[in-house]
Amino acid sequence: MGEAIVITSGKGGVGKTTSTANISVALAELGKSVVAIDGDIGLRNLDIILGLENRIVYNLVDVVKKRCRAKQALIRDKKNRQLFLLPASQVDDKSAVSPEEMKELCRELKEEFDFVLIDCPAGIEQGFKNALAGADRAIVVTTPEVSSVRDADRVIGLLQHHNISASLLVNRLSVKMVEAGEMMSKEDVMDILAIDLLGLIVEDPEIVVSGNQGTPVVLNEDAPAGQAYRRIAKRLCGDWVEVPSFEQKKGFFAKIFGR
Amino acid sequence: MKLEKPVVEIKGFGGTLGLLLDSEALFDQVVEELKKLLQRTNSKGFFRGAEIFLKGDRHKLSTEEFERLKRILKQEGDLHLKPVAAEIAKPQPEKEVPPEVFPDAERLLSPEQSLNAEESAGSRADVEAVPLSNSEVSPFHQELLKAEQNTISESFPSPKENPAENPAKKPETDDTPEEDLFFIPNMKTSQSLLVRQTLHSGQSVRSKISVVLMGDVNAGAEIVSDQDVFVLGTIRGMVHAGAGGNRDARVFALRFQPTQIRIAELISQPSSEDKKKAQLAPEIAFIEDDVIYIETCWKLRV
Ligand SMILES: Nc1ncnc2c1ncn2[C@@H]1O[C@H](COP(=O)(O)OP(=O)(O)OP(=O)(O)O)[C@@H](O)[C@H]1O
Ligand SMILES: [Mg+2]
Repeated sequence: MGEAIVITSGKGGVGKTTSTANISVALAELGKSVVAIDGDIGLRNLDIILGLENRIVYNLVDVVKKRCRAKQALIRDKKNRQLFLLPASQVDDKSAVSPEEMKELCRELKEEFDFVLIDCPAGIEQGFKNALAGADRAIVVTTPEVSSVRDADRVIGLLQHHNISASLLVNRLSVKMVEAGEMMSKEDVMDILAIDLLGLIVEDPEIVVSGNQGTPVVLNEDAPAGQAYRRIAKRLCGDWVEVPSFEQKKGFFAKIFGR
Repeated sequence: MKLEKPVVEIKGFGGTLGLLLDSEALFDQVVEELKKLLQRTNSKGFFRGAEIFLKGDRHKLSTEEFERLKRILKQEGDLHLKPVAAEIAKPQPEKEVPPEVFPDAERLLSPEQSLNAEESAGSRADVEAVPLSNSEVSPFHQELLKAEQNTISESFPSPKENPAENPAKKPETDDTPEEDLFFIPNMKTSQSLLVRQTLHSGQSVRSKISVVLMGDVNAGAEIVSDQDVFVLGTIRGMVHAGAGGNRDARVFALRFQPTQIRIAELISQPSSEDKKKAQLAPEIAFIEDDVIYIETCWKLRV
């Protein structure tokens, strides 16, 4: 029996899809069988990041509406035979599926796969509720910005109400800016959100490049973000590797609040 | 205000109970006050057949009067009154040892408790254990009862406790394990709700009793209490103490960075200037002359 993990954030554009793609690939590289579900119905992206756009025949909505079997809709990755994508429909909207249907789908997929990763849409409405429904745990993605952290905090509260344990992924951290006291450090973020840190991804231009090419950054041995995603996958498999720490000279809040 | 000496008192003396009577009071007054005291404290459920010794140096009673008090104590308090002689007969220390176990019964008892105590009432040989075992249960009873009165906003999962499992309904038998809990006499207590988590944006705790939070109140989260609020962490969101209008209510926190602090009907919005000036020290917010003050606070005064 596998584990279903939802990747969520509240705020849009903070790196949910990027993270879902990269963690999926990294888990598959570790020998796990993985299915990545694009839960962002109507705004699908995950297929592009994974470079599988051209192969889509059926999608998530087709599966839950029983227009095809789950197996038929799953797209096998080009490089890693252990990795599959269940793409979103681009023509439907979030109300095309219900939480119950998602729950049932995840239950079914967990029997076949070690990991079911669900890319959650931004916001806390229907699409969010659907993405949550079948999840056993959550990864909350935030950037070290006040608004992003605020939305992550809201989502953590909602996850608690659904009894889903959450761990934190801090994305797009700029060591330079943290050192200059212009950006919250991971400690600042953790202090507010009060949940465990799963991983830390630095700001890395390689992410943009690889995203455009459809080859997730995790496949790039040299990219710092790629290395970080591989560490996250190990942690998800229960192998605890330390999160590297960066020195902070003057705290962000020290600067903001004059402390 | 001058405190009047109580006409009738029930006190613990090193594990035994003593009945103290004001020697100046008339006997009728004593009877009346004793009845009141027993009623107020629902002592039937509390004492359950315990022995109580008359502290003789306070009052000279006729046999008739003694018997009358004994009857009242038995009927309304389930207490067995023993004359002073019995106390002396028992190997009790001559001097009043500093009482250590008997809490302020009135505070610790709830009506619910007396209901179930009816069934389990019975004479107990082990006098010493009586106040102990009961006082051990009572605060919890009350907390559970009070917790029911608290509303914790629907989106927030209610505490695990199930009203059906309220210990008040559980038969208290002598074989329930007795913990060694010690209360100082006349201990000053009040009920509070201990919340053991950080409150995240969108989460709200509402309570009629004081709230103690082990965690932060994040921006977008709130605590609203009719009494005091103690935050053992940072307030970034909104805290409203004395929501029912109690202007004596206070808000304490290890760090104040609130969006708003409210006490009774007053609202304080610390400016970003205030936040800049705010020190990293525990602070307390209170009302004085119609203004909410926030001051450094190293010691909470009652
Ligand atoms: N660590 C990073 N360094 C640099 N760029 C990044 C990083 N993480 C994400 N990005 C960029 O940020 C943009 C948004 O990322 P992504 O699409 O993964 O976010 P999202 O949370 O899925 O957005 P949405 O809410 O719209 O679904 C992308 O262009 C991506 O390349
Ligand atoms: Mg996305």
